[in-house]
Amino acid sequence: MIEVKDLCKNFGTLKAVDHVSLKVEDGQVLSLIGSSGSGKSTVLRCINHLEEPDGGEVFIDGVPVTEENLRDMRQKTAMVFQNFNLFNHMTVMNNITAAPVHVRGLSKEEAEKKAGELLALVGLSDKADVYPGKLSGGQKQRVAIARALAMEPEAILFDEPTSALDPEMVGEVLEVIKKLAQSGMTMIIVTHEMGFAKEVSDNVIFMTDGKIIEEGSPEKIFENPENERTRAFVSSFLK
Amino acid sequence: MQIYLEGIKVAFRGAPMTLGVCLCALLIGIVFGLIFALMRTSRNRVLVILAKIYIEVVRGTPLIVQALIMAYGLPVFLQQNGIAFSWREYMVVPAIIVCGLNSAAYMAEVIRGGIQSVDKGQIEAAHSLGMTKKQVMKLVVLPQAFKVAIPAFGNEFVTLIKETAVLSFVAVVEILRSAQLWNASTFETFAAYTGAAVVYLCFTFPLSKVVAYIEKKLSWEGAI
Repeated sequence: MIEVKDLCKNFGTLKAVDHVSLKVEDGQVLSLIGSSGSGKSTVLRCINHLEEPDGGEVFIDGVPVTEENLRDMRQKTAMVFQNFNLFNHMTVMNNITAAPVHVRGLSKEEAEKKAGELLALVGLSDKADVYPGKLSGGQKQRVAIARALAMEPEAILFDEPTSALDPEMVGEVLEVIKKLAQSGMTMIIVTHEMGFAKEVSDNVIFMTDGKIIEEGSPEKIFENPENERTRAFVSSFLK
Repeated sequence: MQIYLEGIKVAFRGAPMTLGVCLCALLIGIVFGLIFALMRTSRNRVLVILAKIYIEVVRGTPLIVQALIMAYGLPVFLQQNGIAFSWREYMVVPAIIVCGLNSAAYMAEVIRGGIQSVDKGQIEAAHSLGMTKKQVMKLVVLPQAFKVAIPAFGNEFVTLIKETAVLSFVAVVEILRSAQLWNASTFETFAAYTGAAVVYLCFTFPLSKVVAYIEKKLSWEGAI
């Protein structure tokens, strides 16, 4: 379970995140939507302290994230990035096994066995010995998802996982994320794919200017939004 | 013609010394260059400033002056302060030290460039997987930084081969010193120094071609 209480983050004078609180129960999928610069990604990055919050607290399983327990907390929440951020000097296999071996202390054999299963899950069993430079964007992102899963996290944070992809590759990545959602993985997804958010989410939050404008079930947000701005945003997407 | 070949042959006798000093200096340069690069990119202000001072001092003074200080100045300074110290017949030791430490200053900047060229996103990804700062450095940043720096290491080696000619001033019998000694006994000045030039070229020309080739060849797929 992830809980964010009264989170604030400023970049200079800009209030990127302005008193945001949210909660994701185990097995639930929360989508954060909103226009670019609305603070969605920053919320996500604050959850595992890639950005240091200026105020508020983040709880994972009821435990507040602090500088001291940060590494343990990061192992509970894996992150998938817009630009994949694979390690370019490592094969796909080593990308996936690096953290399990060096952080969790698994043996190489254990980690590789697990990685093999994960590669099968994301449909890339034949790419284990390939370097990221030889992969398409969609394949890179699927490797990144496998890498995140290899740490056996309790939750995965997706930061615009399809925004850097060519349109024809979006589907293959969303398919994998959907599969994870169905398997009961807890997830927070920052996305511009409205149809996908509607389909996969248990809850949706709409943000503008660092604030939560509206939240609720996907049906409510996409079909019966209360707020004027939510309505304007959603209708611009779902034509 | 015979005399020119003789000049090349004589200069060539100094080649093992030149190459040996260069190789040792390169290793020292990479090790200390890495240390200075890590200091230079650390968050600790004191370490950053110390590294900056070292780099500026070394790069701002000629190698020959550094060699003279290390080989002749330092023993005298120590003796004046009551420490009986002499390099004795091992003048090659200060020669290697001074070339290595000189090289380290240049290497530090090269390695720093390599460290800073590593994509920030990869570093964030490594942190998000729970790696410690040390692990991120060792597993993600340095392997990529060194890869970027490999051609520069090769270039530094070529540069060192030429620069170690100054060691002829501190009694190290390398390529140039061999030529000088021969000149002193035969007065074949032109043959002696052109001989030295040819020998230097025999090493620097092919080596720089090799470096250029590696530079071209070096892709993520090919090199590991």
